[in-house]
Amino acid sequence: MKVSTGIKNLDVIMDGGFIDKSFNLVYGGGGTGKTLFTFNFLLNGAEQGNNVLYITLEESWDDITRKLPDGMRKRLDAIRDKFHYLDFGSLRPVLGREIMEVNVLTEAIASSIVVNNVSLVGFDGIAPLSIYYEDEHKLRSVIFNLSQSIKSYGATTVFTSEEIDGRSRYGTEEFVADSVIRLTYNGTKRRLQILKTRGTGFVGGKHGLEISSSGLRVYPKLLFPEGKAKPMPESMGILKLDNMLGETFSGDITLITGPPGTGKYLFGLSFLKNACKHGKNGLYISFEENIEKIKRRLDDLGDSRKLCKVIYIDPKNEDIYKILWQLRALTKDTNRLVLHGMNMLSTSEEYEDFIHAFLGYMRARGISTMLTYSTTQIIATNTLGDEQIVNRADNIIKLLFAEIGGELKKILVIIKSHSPTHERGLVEYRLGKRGVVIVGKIEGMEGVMSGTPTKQMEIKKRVESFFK
Amino acid sequence: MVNSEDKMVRVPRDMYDAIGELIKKYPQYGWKGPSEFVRDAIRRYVEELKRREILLERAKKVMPDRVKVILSKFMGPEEAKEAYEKIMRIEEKDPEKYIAEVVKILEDYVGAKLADLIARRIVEERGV
Repeated sequence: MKVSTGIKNLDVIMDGGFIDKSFNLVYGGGGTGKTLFTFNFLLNGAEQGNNVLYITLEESWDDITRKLPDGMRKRLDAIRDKFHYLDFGSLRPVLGREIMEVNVLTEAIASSIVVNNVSLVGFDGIAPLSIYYEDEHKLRSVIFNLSQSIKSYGATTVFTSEEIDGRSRYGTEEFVADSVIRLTYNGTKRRLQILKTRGTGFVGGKHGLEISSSGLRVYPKLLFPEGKAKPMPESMGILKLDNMLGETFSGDITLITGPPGTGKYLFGLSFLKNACKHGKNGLYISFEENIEKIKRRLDDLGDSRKLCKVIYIDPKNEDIYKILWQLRALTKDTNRLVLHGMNMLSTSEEYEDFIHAFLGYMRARGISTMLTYSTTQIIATNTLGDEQIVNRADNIIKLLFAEIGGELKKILVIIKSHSPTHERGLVEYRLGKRGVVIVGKIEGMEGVMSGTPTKQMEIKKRVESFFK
Repeated sequence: MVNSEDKMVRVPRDMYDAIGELIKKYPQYGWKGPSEFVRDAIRRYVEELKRREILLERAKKVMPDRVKVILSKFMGPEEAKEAYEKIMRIEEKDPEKYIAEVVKILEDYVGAKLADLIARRIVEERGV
């Protein structure tokens, strides 16, 4: 039987939560959210109808509750009769260090568990035990005895410890615990890592953690599969482009890569417009701020905004795993998705995990996804931008500028497609009021990709004159 | 000087010998012999018991309020009030027995060891 950790997504990646009547360690440095994790666990338990007990050896109950975020304090007020506490820190000035003697602690805790019919315990901070037990070996056995004693009363416990040099303070807590969770915070992002769960599986790696006013949220580094959609033939929404690609299917991942000014966003809008035309829902998410331009162009393309939405997500100030889960929620009823400005996200060190989780999930759900990536070189670029997407995309369309006949022309080339017979040539396109217009193939030119286009005949003549 | 009203008290031989050794060891106390040592010891012990009685009496007076304050911080005002009311219902006059009853009430809330510790500390506070 499992007991909820108090955080829905954490339960999922811990195979249901904590084992019933288990002793679970949460450790981390200062400010990582250990106390709030413990509180959240107990609040959730009390909200489910359990009697819960919070134990503090150091910081006073008054201080802790005063510092609680507003939302959590309101939650506490609502279930106050089920939330019990033992503030040993408040007894220290009156009773001295004797209060930290293990038998005194265990008896008091046991009394509260029995009298109040407690099933969940939060033991916040064990560091003050070292005031009484200076010998490390003795301290280890005390922690062990404490854990065994609380377990014997049938309560499921979360206890917290400080992190020192990447491990819990005394090093023994991990061995005593049935599960171990590590919290980290580098000043900008919070991470939660499950290091151990006795007897059950868990999803490894560092997951996103958010502390909001009302409690804690976990954003796992992956998205869980939700069915498998059958791929159906689809149109990209740009005249002639479908023929050039050969074939495209629902659930395809298409990368549009090119320098600024090549109209990547218009490829995205045409892609969405086509979906809306067939009564399907489209979503355009931009990681670049200026979404008003995109909304205007969507109107120009004749779309009623009822089916196509345009949303801006700030990639710099949002956790990448939160974005991952936001995308999951936003695409609930979506058939087609455009993510514009992937280069704004790619600086995150967890980008690879994000791409892996996100693209796999969209493909499985049959959501056709177009990603745009802005490269920096204007002419003669040989990069496709992002290898994480490149390796996973079904279709890759590279956009570039080429100086031909004294004019800067827009060229597209299909690098990759499902169809082995896709267009291999360079194709000129224009951007107009009605979106992307395919002009036609660039004939008789060479060196366009390298930025030095030359007529094929000229080269032929030069070669012939050389051999003459 | 032997007074006709004086009574004899027996002490075991070992204890008698030990008294002799203590008299030799601590000449600064000025005990002239075992009899004076025993009289001094009894006087001190009686004083100690009286002092303890006073302490317990003082502690008994403050016990309900002190327990209420300590428990209120330790486990919340509800439980503290409940324990306070139970203590207020104790009818025992003898301070020693009264405190034993207080400890018994506290045991239900905080366990035997902590109950004893709290009661002991409240008594000690009165002696400061």
